[in-house]
Amino acid sequence: MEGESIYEVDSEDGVGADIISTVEFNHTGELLATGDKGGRVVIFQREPESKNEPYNQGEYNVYSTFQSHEPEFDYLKSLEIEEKINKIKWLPQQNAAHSLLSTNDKTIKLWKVTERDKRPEGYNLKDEEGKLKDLSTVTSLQVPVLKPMDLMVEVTPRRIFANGHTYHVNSISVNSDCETYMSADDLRINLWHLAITDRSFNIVDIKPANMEDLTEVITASEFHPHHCNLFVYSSSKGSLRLCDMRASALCDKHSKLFEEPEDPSNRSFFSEIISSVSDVKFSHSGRYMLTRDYLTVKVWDLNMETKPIETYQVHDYLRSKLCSLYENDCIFDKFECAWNGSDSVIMTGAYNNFFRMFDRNTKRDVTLEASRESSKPRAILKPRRVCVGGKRRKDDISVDSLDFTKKILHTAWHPTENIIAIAATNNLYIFQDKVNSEMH
Amino acid sequence: MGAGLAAGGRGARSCSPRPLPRAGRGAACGGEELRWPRPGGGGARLLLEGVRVPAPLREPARLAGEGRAACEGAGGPARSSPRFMLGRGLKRKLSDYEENVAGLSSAFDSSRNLPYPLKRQLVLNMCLTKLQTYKMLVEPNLHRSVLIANTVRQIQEEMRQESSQQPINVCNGIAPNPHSYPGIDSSGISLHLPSGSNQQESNCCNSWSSEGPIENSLLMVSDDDMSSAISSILKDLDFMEDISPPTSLVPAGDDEPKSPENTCLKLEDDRQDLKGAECVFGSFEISNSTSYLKDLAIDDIFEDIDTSMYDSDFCSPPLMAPRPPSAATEETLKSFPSCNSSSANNIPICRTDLSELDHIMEILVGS
Repeated sequence: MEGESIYEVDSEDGVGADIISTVEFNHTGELLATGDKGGRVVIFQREPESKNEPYNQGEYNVYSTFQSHEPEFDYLKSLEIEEKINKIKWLPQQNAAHSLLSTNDKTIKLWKVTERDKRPEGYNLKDEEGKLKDLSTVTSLQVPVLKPMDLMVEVTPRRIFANGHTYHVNSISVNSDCETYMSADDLRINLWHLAITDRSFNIVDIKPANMEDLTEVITASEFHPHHCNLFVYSSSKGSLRLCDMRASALCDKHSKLFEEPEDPSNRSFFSEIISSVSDVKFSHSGRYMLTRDYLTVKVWDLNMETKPIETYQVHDYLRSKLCSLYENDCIFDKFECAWNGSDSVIMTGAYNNFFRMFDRNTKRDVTLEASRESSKPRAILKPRRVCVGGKRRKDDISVDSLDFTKKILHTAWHPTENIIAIAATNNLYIFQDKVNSEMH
Repeated sequence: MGAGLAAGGRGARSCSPRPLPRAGRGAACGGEELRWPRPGGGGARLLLEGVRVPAPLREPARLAGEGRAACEGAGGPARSSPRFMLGRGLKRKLSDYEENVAGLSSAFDSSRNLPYPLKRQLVLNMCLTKLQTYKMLVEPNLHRSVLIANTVRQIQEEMRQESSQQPINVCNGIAPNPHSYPGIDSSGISLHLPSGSNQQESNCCNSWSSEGPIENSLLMVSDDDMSSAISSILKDLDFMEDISPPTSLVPAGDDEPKSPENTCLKLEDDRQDLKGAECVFGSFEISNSTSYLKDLAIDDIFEDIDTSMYDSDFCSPPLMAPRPPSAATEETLKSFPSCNSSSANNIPICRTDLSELDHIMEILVGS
């Protein structure tokens, strides 16, 4: 991997509004959207490939920035509703315009992104500024013509899906039918039609009649990439439930439950907390699911419910630090995970601005660092190593000197190429695979 | 090559986002004004809770009472209340407490010699601290609360099993369970139950620097404490939903009556778990050290309070007079949202009666 670009969102307010909270490529990979804690969405566009430098593929540059959500206050509950963008999902492109869904804790919005590079000139009844002309001055007819102008990117709100969630929305997912999407909060999943904002269907509800009985919450949810009737949701107890919407309108009964029995040798007070699934992603093929819990990433085969087919340790050296991590609340961090385009490599974040990649075929793994110092443009990322035992090689970093405030929670992989986007607090790093990389 | 977003970035196109919709906010808001003042807590319940429970484990019975009363008595603006000011003092106490614990958690991680009961107590104390400080957060995180609550439940269950296994010698040398926790060795500390019944006065923070016996008594006391802490927090979340405005969405509406199948939609694997939790909250088991509450279940205490006046014929006659009776009933019910709560244990308590409840609790606690 070689460093491509670093974008830093300006930190003007000092309250962390610029901390990136989600990263998402569109379906072609031409656009990349980020959302931040301040409710802003920034869209990056990949520049066309240069003919002079065939290997220097287009860089991503800022395409548009807009304010998606504003802070609100729920007066009845006396609670502040944060503007933080929890998730962004692109809709498959239907025409020249691009569309995306963005959500904060409660409200999902559909945005349309359009370009304009021409404008009509020479109206009969209006002047250049659009004001009506004095009709007595109009003496001849003329045909308005389209004149080129500077490209403008317009972002307009198309739909606002409000009032669907009592708890915090943690995921949204567009269905492969391109007409519906779902949104999941801690206890419920709703199904929406993209064109209808005043109604949604509740497809999962795990809220117990008595909240004292509550022991489990929904942590993430996603539609199957090809079968529009299937979706999966993960829980805080480490299980995955695959549901079929053909079975019933309310999918309270899962079709499949994916769960791994707890390893008794690793039991501790924090077993349940670290088994909580923070992210679930279907593979592009639709055959596998990738889940992230606090210490591992796991690959599940849809045809095997009893255990994952692959388990990769992300930072097993933290297993002995769980009490401290519990105390400083890091143990509740929600790391995401991502597949590469061919489902052969998986990627997930860690602490100290490190992120991890696992090659499923060769079983090789690598730790890389997203930092300004180590990733100069075009520089090749050096693998990093965290030393656990006494032997410490040069450039190794010891577990005790890891910086737990620098965490990489959000990552995204280009849908077809080896380009990755890494959100490290308020920096977005975009790395690109060298041609003929040794790893992939 | 950091391209500042604000500056548009290198090679950025001219972007002209349209004016954005201001969802339910005044158009004059902008800049700093956009940030709402972060209140010290979400409402009355938080403040009451905070003031009355200076430190976790300190006054278990009272915490139980307050937790309940607080979560049901909320509803009015509380920022002007003098209790709010008191609440600030509390915060300092808690952070002192956290400082005390800070060194200990790393001791937990690094030391293998820490006896298992101590480790467990340390985790338990942290859980309770988190559950309480949670209430001061602006944005309650259900996921986090549930995970913490489950950890407390697990420890609680473990302690209950131990005490039932050793019915006579309840507190002598609680042996770590080497089978389930192989990494932790037991270094054989024998603990003794102090004879006095005032052990609960001992602050958990101090207990860490002191000798074994006090810690051990805390192991016992905390059982009720955490049940009530968890239930009050989870109930609180329920309560928040109950007072939410009815949504206009028909199918996704939140408080639709659910069919019986839906309410027990928990998957089979969880059933066992649920049962465990139910009995945790259903019967407030009173441990041997809280002598004055030995024969009293907390629920019974609440049953003694005559709540019939809050039922359907609860009245404020002048209010009722001009309306037809049925409408008035509805009205009063609305003004006590917890009446609509699905929670079976909820007893609607009017704010004005909180002081009365406090009084009752004080008598019961004997302080």
